[in-house]
Amino acid sequence: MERRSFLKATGSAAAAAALAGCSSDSDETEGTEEGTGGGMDSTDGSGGDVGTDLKQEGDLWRVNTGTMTTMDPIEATDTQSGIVIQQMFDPLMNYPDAQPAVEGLMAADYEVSDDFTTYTFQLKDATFHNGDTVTASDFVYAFERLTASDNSSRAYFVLDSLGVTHETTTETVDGEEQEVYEPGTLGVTAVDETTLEIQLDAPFASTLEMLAYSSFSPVPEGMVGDIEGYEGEVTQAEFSSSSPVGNGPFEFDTWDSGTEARVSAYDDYYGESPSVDGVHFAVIESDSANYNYAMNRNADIFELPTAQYDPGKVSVEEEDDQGRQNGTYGELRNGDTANYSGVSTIGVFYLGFDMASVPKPVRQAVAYAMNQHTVVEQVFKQRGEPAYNFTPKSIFPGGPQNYNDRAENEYPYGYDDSQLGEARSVMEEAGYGENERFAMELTIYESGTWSETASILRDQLESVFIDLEVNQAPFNTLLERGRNGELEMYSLGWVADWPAPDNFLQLLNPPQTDTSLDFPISYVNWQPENGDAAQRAEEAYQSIGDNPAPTEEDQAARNDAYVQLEDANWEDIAMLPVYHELRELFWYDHVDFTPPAGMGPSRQKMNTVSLGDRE
Amino acid sequence: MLKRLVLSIPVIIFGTTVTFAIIRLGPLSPAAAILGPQGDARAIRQIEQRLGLNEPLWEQYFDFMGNLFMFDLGQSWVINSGTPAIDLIISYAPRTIWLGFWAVLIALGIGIPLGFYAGLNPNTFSDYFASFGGIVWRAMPNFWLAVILVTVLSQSEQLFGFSWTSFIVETNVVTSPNLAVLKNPTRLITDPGQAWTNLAKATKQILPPALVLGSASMGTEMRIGRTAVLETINSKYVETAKAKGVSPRVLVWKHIFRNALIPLVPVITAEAFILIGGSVLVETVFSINGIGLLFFRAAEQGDLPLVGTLMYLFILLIVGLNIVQDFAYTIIDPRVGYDA
Repeated sequence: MERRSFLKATGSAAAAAALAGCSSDSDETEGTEEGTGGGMDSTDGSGGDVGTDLKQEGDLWRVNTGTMTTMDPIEATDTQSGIVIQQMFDPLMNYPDAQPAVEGLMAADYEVSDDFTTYTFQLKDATFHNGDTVTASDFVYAFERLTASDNSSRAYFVLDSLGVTHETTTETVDGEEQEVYEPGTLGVTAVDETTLEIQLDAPFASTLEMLAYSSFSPVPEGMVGDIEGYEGEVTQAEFSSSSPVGNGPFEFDTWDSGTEARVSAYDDYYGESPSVDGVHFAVIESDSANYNYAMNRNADIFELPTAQYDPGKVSVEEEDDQGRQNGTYGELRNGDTANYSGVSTIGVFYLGFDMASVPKPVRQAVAYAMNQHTVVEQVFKQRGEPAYNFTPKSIFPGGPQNYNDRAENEYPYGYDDSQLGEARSVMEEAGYGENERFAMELTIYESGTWSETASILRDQLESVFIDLEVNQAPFNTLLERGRNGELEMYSLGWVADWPAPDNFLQLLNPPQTDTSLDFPISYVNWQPENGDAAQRAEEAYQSIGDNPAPTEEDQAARNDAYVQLEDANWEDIAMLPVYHELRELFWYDHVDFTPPAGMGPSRQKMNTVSLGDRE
Repeated sequence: MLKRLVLSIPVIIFGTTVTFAIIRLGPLSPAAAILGPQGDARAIRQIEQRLGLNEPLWEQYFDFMGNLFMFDLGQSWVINSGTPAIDLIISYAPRTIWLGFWAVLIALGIGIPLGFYAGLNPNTFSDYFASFGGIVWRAMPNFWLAVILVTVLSQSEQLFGFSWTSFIVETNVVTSPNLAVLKNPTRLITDPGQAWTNLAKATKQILPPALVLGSASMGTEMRIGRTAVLETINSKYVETAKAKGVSPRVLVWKHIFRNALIPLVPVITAEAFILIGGSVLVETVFSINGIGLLFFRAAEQGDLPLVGTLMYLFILLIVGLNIVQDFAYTIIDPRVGYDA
């Protein structure tokens, strides 16, 4: 009897606990919602009205294929954050619809001194989303943050890429003395409210292009206290997650990490006001989820995963002067026909070799075996262009025509051809054979297309006495191992920071590829001992640096040097270019949209997009 | 009881130490993850300094452990730099809890009754049907079932002439359910129209992933439930009870049901562990941004404070559940003592 009543009691107690559990659970959620305040209240901040979907009917519906990490322009390095930041922040210059020719954005006008080291900008009359006027001193503050803040990931943009004048001070880090930037000494000054002056150490031909990077956007002076001399109105964590204030066509609304983000139209925008109410970004990483989301008409503009893409459904009607192939794609799974635009973005994907551990004959054999055309056709379903030069077509010296001529006539390892015979003989000459095989490891980043490419290559190399072991690693692991000189052969890509060959060819400057350095820029260890052309490459890169000005004369000298560097790379095969990405966007008929050009979708502002009725 | 709690401490220390070792001694570089593939190597040192990664490893270890045990859980490095880990978890957790709740409910609500029914009516057609169904459910891999379900539901109109997306309430097949109404349940009374619709939407949207996640345990529970009932039915005390004239109703509910539950207890608690691991896959396919997805991303990018916090909470949860499980035995089966 006793036991029975105990059981009854505990039974009902358990039931009560379960019920209480349910209700206390929801209480807790409510409590934390009020309690946390700080960082994540962006989640619930949208007017506080529960049950409101962030997505609104008047919004442009888009998809981000990865999660954003920050809304702070000086901190962001990933494309996904960049896409959202691009809508909220306007720097001095802009790539209109991602065309590689820059135009003034916040800059109404600019002048360059005769020695090409002083740039003077007149600012447009604009306001920040908090109502304050954008002044030259906001730019000075923003540039200082970009250079000196601990949160900046792009200080080298200012100090090295642009080379803005500054002073350094000696600091001891880990027992080593280092020259570091001395805060407050940057050569950027506010001449008056609307005039900004930037002083460079030396001329740099892509200065204006560089200034189109959203990292260089103004921020209301004193907003964040992460540099000397400012208290800050909000913490950097708040600024980067829940209260970014910019001057772009859209202002921040909400961001629920990993789920969605929304920016809403800014009514007092100084340029062309957005015609949509806002832009909604759903974060969807999985390809199939992404596809289903688009097919259910939940996105206005979308991309198609390669698995669900059929090149036979593309019909291109015209190729415009920006190299965009425009037309239609259909029929889609849901019965619609979508608008289509494909453009070769300014970037290159390549295989790099650690030249110190992979001998030249092996590298050449890989180059002979690789047929870039086959890879693009079989693996990428033609969603790319085979790459033979490291510098992308649209910025290649002498234009796309010269790129193609060189590839077809001068590429030493077979244009659109897999020359296994040549590969075998170069290996045999070097003493390799059936009993003397060469084994190496290819590390690729996580990508279905690279893993298919790698297995095609592995099968081909089998017959030319090379045993390829293919491994996958996440990006950060790949880079870390590269820096430590632990990669024999690796896959990576480079997308233009600014649209000029020097941005690409710096990866092939031999002294900067030495992995025994603290900060190699690429991991190929190109030295005279392992490559006959190393000297030539180094001289060519030197010549680029010696002719830095945006003049025709210097440009001609640089162009010669660019081509010499490409030639040196062909001879020694430090990096084997594989493909240039073809970026394809699809959109439904109710969207009126100019597709992005070569700088890619992440550089496009959405204020010119308009929407008709959704069906 | 006290002994159990004390014994759990080394388990927790061991678990968190392993987490630290895997993240910090492996080739993962949070600084490189922050900078991305095109980041400049010169910025690496700056970031490592900011995160304290240039300190000696043992110092980092003691900092990490100390902070965890003081429940000072730190801020995310990579995923949402600067945001407290616990805030991130709180913002991702509701969706996983919602998913887990339905997954367990589906498994319990269908698996166990079906298993008991099959056990009480052995070797009939319905038993074979249910048993076979259980094996099929058990055998279907999560990732496969998830992908198929998403595809089928997205095209239900073309395939069956029945549109899942507009069935009862309009919802998406993929993406996270909107759980705002659960955060403020009083709305169910104050604004019933809107709130109940939202609740229906959230429920409808979570059912397919929950079915996938619960499918394996549903099958297991069905199979074990059937066996357990069969075993109990054939045991001596049931025969005795039958002989002394206990009514069938009392026989089933009191003598069979409770005893048959014993082998199911570890299966049910083990579900919690399956949910933590399995949710990574299901959440990815259905694009639900829950804890599983967060954990996977954080681990891959070496976001130590976030992974550490999640692991710490998982370990606490699992250790806690094990204690609860042992306690549950003593309630269901009085022969099992706590100290035995």
